[in-house]
Amino acid sequence: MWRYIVKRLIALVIVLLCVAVIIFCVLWFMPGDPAEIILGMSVPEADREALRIKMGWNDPFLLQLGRYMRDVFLHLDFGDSYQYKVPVSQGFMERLPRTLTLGLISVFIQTVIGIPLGVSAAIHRNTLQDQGLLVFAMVFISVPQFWFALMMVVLFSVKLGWLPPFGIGSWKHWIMPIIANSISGIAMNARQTRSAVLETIRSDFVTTARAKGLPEGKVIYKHMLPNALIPVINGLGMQLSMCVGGTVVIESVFSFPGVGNYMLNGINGLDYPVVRGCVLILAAVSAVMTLVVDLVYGFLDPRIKAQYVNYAAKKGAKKAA
Amino acid sequence: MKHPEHHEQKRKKQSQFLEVLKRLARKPSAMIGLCIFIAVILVCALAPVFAPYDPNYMDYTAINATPSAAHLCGCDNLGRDILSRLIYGGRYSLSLGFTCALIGMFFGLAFGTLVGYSGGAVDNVAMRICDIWMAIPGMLLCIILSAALGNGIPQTIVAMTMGGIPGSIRGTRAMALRERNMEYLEAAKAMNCSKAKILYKHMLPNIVAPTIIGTTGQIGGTIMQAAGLSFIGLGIQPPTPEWGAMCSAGRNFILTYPHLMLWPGVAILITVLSINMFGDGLRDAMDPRLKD
Repeated sequence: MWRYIVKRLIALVIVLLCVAVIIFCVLWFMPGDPAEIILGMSVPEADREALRIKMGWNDPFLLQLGRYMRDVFLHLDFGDSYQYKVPVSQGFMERLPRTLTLGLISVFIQTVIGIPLGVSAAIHRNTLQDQGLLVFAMVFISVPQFWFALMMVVLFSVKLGWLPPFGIGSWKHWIMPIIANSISGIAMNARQTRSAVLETIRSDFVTTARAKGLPEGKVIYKHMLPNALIPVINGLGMQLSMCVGGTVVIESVFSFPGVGNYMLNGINGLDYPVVRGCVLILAAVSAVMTLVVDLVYGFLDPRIKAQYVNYAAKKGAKKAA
Repeated sequence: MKHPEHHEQKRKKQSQFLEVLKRLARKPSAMIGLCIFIAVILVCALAPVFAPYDPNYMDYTAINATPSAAHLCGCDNLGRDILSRLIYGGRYSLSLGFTCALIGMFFGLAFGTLVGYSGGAVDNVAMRICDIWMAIPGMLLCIILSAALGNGIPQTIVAMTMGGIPGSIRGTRAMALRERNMEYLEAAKAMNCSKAKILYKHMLPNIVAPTIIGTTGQIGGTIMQAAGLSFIGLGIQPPTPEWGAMCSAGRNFILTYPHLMLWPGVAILITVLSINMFGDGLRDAMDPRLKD
C-alpha cells in the first residue's frame, strides 16, 4: 500500500512539472503586452521597455521558462500579480476557501439529492414518478448552466426580489450559485443511479434474496444498493476532483469572488502569473483529490485494495515467467 | 473464396442493424428528439429562407423591442431581430459542436485503437501523456487555450478539441483493449494479416459503433461548452450571432430586457435536449441488455 502511495506521489510531481511547462508554453502565445496593461499607454515607450527588461520579459524563452520552474518548484513562488501587486499564492489562498466551499457543497447536494432520486425512480420503474424524473433529468442535463443561473437571477432577484443577484456576503448570496452549480449534477447522478440500480435488479443474487423470502426493504437496502452504488460512488470521486476547476462560468455569472473569477480577471488583464498560478494550483488540487479518492476506494472496496497490494507481487511473477 | 459462413455472418450483421433501427423507431423520445434536431438543422442551414430579417439589419425604431407579431422574439439593443440572429447563429453553434465532436472522435479512433492494440511501451507512454493532459481540468484547458489562441471560429475549435481529445483516446483505448483478446483478432493474426489491416479492417468496425454513440452524446455537451466559452468573453464574440455570444451580449441588459438572453438560451436548450434525447435512445437501442 505504501509503495503504491509513494509511486502515485512521484507520478503526481512529474505530472505537475509537465503541466507547468505546458501552461507556460500555452500562455507564451497569448497576444498582448502586459507592460501596456501595467503602465498604460500614457507613459513613454522607454519606460515600458525598461519595465520589460526589469521583469525579464525580453529574455529568451528557455531562460524565462527555467526561471519560472525554479521559482515555482523550489521556492513555491508563483510570482506577483501584475494587477493586484500581491503574490499570486496569497491572492489564490484568499479565494480558494470560497470556491472550495461552493464546489464541495454542490457535490454534497448532488449526492444527497441525486442518488435517492435515482434509487426511488428505479424501484418504482415506469411509474409517473420515474417518468417525471427522467424528463427532469433530461432537461437539466441539457440546460446551459450560465443561462439557467441568469434566468434564476431574473426570477428571484429582479422579479421577486428574494435573493441578491451577485457578490458575496450573507448566506443568501450562496443559494443561487450552489443551485446553478449542482442542478445538472443532480440530474446526472439521478440518471446514473437509476440505470445502475435497474441493472442490479436483474441480477441473480437479487432473485435469490427474494426467493429466500427476505422482505423487499431488506432486499433493496442490504443486497441491491451496496452493489448498485459502486459505479455511482466512482462517479462521485470524479465530481470531487473536478469540483474546484468547474465553477469558472458560474463564478463569472454571479461575480463570485472565487478562484475562477480570479483567473478570468487574470486572462482579461494579461496577468500571466495569476493565470499560470491558478491553473497549476487547480491542477494540483484536483490531482491530490483524485489520489485521495482512489485511496479511499481502496479502503471501501476490498477488491480494489487487493489490486494495490498484489500489484508488486504480480509484476514480479510476470517478470519471472 | 467466399464461404457460406461469411455470407451468413454478413446477413446477420445487417439484420442486427435493422433491429437496432426498429428498436430506435419504437422509442418515442428518441424519435421526437431526432425530428426536432433535423428541424433545427434544416432551419439553420436554410437560414435565408426562414429568417424573417437580415440578422445584421439594425432597426432603430425597434431597439429592445419586446416580442410582438413583427418580431417574434423581439429585438436586441441595436434593433436587430433576435429570431433571425438565432437562426443564423445556429449555423455557428451547430457547426462548432459537430466539428469538435467529430475531430475528437477521429483522433480517439485513430490513436485509441492503435495504442490499445499495441499495448506495452506505446500504451504506457500514451497513457502518461493523457494523464498529464487531463491533469488540467477540461474547462480550464479550454479557457487558457482559447485565451492564448484568441477569439474566432478556428481558434475555438482547436481549443475545444484539445480539451476533449485525451478523454476520447482513453475511451477508445479501453474498447480496443477489450477487443484485443477476441478470437476473431487471433484468427486474423493466424491468417497473417498485417498489423494495419488487423487494426483498421477488423478491429475498427467493432469500435466505431459504440464510439459514434458516445460522440452523439458529446455533441450536446460541446455546444454548451462553446456557448459557455463565448459567454465568459472567450471563444466567439459579438457581433457574430453565436448563441453563447448572444447570451453574453444580452447579459448587460438582464435587469431591464431579459428577453435579450432568454431566447438564445432557449435555442441552446432545445437543440441540446433534442440531441441528448436522440443519443439516449440510440444508446439504449444499441444495448442488447436493455432489449425489453
